[in-house]
Amino acid sequence: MGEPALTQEVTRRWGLAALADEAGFDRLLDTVATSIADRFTLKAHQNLVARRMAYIAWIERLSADNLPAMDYRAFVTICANLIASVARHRVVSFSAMIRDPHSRMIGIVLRYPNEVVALAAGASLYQLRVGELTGEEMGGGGLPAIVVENAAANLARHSEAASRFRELLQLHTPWV
Amino acid sequence: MAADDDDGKRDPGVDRLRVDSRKVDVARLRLAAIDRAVFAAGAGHAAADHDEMVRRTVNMLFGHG
Repeated sequence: MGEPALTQEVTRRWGLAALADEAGFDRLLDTVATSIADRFTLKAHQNLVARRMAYIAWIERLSADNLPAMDYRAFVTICANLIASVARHRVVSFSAMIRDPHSRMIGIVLRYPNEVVALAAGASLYQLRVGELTGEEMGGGGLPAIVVENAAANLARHSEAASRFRELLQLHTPWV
Repeated sequence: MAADDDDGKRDPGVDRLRVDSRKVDVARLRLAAIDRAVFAAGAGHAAADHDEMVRRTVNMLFGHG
């Protein structure tokens, strides 16, 4: 009797493999975008075509990559792949509900919405997986503020690099 | 936040973008293998590598040390 229950328990757990399915991928981006919007009092908007293009890019990279040794380096590679797949497509935009003129971070999020989402999504892979391992509650499915703030802070600290990345994005999607 | 576009309608362009199911299967297997390799040893092992993961990931995106 115990074995089927155990099997159900194992299959119910969240794992990285869930992100191979489009529904799991979409849920992750929803979670990340919602967490960012909540943290900075913004409204999030998604472009579904761009989201599917990001998913296809994610799958293409995963299936094509020759991964390094199957250890943390492979994990780093898939985090980077997720970041690149999301950031290169204009999946998310934010609009300000209440703009705090003194908040530099809100300005960064409004200026680099996809880059912030992409970095937070990459970081969230680790956070979600460890949360699953440790049984830590995620507070209604959102990401901790520190993950979101760190993503925005990375862009703020490396503004020149963020601008260059934005130029690459515009070259990649010149019609937007 | 809206899961669909702002007007709640599904963009027909989405359905024209096909995903190769064989590639999805390969991706799923690879993700599961990485999951086992990195996290099977426990959260403590993963946490020890966290800084390295973040540093390398940011490097790959921004090219900063």
